[in-house]
Amino acid sequence: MNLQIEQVGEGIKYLVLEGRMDLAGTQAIDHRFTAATATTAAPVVVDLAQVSFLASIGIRTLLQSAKALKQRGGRMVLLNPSEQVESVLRSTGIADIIPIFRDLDSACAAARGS
Amino acid sequence: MLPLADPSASGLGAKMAEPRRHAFSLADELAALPTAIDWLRAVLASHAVPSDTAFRLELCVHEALENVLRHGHEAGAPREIELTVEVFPGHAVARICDDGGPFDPLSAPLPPKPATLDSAMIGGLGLRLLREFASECHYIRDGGKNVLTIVARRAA
Repeated sequence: MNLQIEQVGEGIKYLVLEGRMDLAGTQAIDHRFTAATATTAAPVVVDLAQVSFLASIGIRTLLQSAKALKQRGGRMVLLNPSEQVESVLRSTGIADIIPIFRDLDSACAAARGS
Repeated sequence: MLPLADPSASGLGAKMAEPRRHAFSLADELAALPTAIDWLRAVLASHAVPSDTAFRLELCVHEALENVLRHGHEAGAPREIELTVEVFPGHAVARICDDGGPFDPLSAPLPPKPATLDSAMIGGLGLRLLREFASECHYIRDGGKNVLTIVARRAA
């Protein structure tokens, strides 16, 4: 499991996840992901296009960071999950509270709150 | 070998000697989960199980095993945990046996789906995924063991 952290637009954090967000994969990125998202109020776009598997442990990491970010006044959105990963996000209701976008521009606009 | 919950429903039965049945014993620790999932993926790949069926079975087994490994101790520590997999044309069946305290993951209450980010609960997600992604799921308590059978069918 890989996590790449970039900046896009005006101060938006762009986090690209790659691999399987099962127990082992999530444990491998959890600290860096949480540090990147939960310690500032910068808007966050999480690119899921290269995530091939998502278990509840991975959802917990996304959810805890999104909650912490919101408490700081920031916002997290998700970008381009695969059909299977999106089905997990919808089944658990996460897609209703952390919005999913199909293109980076829309994701960035939503993360900024504009 | 334990009797099955409902052999006719899952296609399991007197087929234990055939090579399509595979068994894996887990250590009673969370660190055993990735190894078990790697093993499951290799079994499913060796039978060329379609990706959608494999995804759903992997997800259900991951959630069910994680629950056993994290919570099995609460009502008596599980000492033996076994995962078996059988692959059939059109569906695959996983069965998890553990001798921890009785726990039926199919009847445990689920928290409501989150209405807002602030009110979202962190727990209960795995049991919801197990129930929603399995084509069929059966639980019995048998001979002091929890026996959970999970069926994933190929999408029509």
